[in-house]
Amino acid sequence: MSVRSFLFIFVLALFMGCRGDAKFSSEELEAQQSAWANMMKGHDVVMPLRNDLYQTSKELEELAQDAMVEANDFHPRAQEAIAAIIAADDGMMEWMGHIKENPLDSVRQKQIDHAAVMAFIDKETVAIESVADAMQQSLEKGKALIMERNGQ
Amino acid sequence: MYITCKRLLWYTWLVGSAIVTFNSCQPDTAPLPYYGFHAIDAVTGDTLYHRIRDFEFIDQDSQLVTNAYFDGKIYVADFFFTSCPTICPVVKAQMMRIYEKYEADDRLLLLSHSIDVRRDTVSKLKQYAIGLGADSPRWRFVTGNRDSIYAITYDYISTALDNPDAPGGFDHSGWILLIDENRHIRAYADGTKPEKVDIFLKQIDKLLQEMENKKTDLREKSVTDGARR
Repeated sequence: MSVRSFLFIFVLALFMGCRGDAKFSSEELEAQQSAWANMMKGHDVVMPLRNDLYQTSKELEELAQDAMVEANDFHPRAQEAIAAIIAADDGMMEWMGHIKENPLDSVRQKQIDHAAVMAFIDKETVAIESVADAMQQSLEKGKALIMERNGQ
Repeated sequence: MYITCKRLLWYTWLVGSAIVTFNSCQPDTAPLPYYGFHAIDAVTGDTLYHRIRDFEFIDQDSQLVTNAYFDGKIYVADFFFTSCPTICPVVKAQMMRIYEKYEADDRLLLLSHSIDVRRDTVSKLKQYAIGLGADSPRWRFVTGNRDSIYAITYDYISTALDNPDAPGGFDHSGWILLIDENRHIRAYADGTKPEKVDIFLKQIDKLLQEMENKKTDLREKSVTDGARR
């Protein structure tokens, strides 16, 4: 290989390397940031439900305990509702753990292009929406069961 | 007449400014408030302030941490979990400011409670503390059973906010709280806001000064009592 060819390849490699830092245009970066913020907003809305979930599951535990010897299906229904609450809460914690391991900067580095970054964010947005649904539904069911038990 | 009025206005402004400046230069000597329920002791007539309940948690070194660990100290408490991607890292940065400022002052400790008792194992807490550069006897990261963590969260935060129905999510709201040597809540701040933590740092200084004043008073009293005898 001639010196000229070597220099050409070297400069090309350098250029490609530098280009790697600017993998995304400013519009793409903005779109990613906005989609990410939107996803996190979905998390922020339901995260406060964790306390409500805890209080509801505690109340159900007490009612289920009282209903243990009764000849009706309240006890198993309460247990089922508690399990759904715990699963929903776990889902939120798992999702957060996953996002903590994959912050936006690292996603940008790992993914090959803008479309792949957006696909990742879209997938996680669907995931948090599903977690949010599970949290809200289990909470509603739990509260409805408490009201039913209390004759309200 | 016009000159007189103008001069009067000028003097008024001057005196007013002097009063404002004088007042703002005065040290704020009012003690920090006591948050939470107050009751009067029927026998002594003393005011009884809300006290943080007894607790027992396990720290990042698998050691039992109870109230006794904080005897004679003041401490800053907060709530977090290691996998928290949003609020906790921001709050932890502010807790680090507190830790670093008082690193050499053994009168102040820090206590961080994990609210993810299923995942935040002792080893995870240890890694977290090491990662922060705060694996020290002066900063304990603790876990416990779900009920005791929630109960203590409620005790700290709904008391501080003076609201028994504190808004949902208070365990993940970024509050940091200052507890005195008698387990009373004396200050709290939104740990996600550095400017609020600036004020909180001043409140810590004030509480430390209050502790020193109490010690001095006790020493003087014992000297006086000794002299009387």
